[in-house]
Amino acid sequence: MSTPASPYQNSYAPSFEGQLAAIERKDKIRGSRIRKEMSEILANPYGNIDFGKGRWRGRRKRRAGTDRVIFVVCKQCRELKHFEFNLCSDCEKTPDETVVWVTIIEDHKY
Amino acid sequence: MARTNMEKAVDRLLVLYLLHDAFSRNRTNFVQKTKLQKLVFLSEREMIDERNKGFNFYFIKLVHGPFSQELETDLAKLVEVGLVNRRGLEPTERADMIIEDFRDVIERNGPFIKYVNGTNDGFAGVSLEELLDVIYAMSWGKGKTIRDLPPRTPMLFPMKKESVASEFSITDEEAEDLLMNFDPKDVRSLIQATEEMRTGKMRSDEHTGVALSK
Repeated sequence: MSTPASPYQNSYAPSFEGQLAAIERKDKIRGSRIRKEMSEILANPYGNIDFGKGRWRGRRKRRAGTDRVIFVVCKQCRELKHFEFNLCSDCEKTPDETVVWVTIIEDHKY
Repeated sequence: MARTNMEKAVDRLLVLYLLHDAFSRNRTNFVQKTKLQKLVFLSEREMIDERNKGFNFYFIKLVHGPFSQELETDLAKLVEVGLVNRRGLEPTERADMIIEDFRDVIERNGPFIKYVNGTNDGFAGVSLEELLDVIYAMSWGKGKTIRDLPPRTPMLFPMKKESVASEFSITDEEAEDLLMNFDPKDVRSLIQATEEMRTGKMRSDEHTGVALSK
């Protein structure tokens, strides 16, 4: 998933993997649209910053068609003191240059 | 006609605000489902009287007065996602987070919030029996009161576009942010992912499954 140009590494919630796999099985175009957004986030994790609200505090979201990719950039999480929302048990071992893929909000239509 | 997603977002935010306001200003410490139905009915009626489109619930008259099935469904969702306690309908800390994070939406829509505050000022603190008496005695149609209406009489319904003088103001993005908090499926997926993060189940590129190894 990581692009050679990006120093960022991936960390996936298993449920995120499951969601992406299921979407790709159902609809390859939707799946590749999500992967394209993920690649763009990895290449430029500080572009287009849009945090969730309420229960989604501390996680960022990016639109991929009718889906929303929810993720965390570890360095940003530390700087903004978002640990209280994300609660990663491996925080101390995880490098700043990591993108944590949290979940996909599927097929919202607004 | 079914409500749009935008209307659902506004309805649920206003219901949450109504409960938050009723409890935080010590108007009450317990709201029965029937009482919530009546408080929302009174607010929506005021809004419609002044051609302001805020609440979008369809109300009919049932045994205990005005009732909206859509409100019943919305309340069940608010309970399911942990924003409102099942017993007594007290908003949770997570609901406070929503009110805080959407403070600008609430302030931008001051005139709509006034209707809700006004209803709470007048009725949140009274007993359900008193509230029902007030509602049954309200006039409805020529020379009739709500008490006189036959069961299942339609009472309130979402305003048609051409009748609207003013509409609750919210952007697509704000509605999306709200619905993410109100949708049990979305909330469950976040809870599951957070649990995986909390318990060290995260996977790197090397350890990931077939799904991402491209």
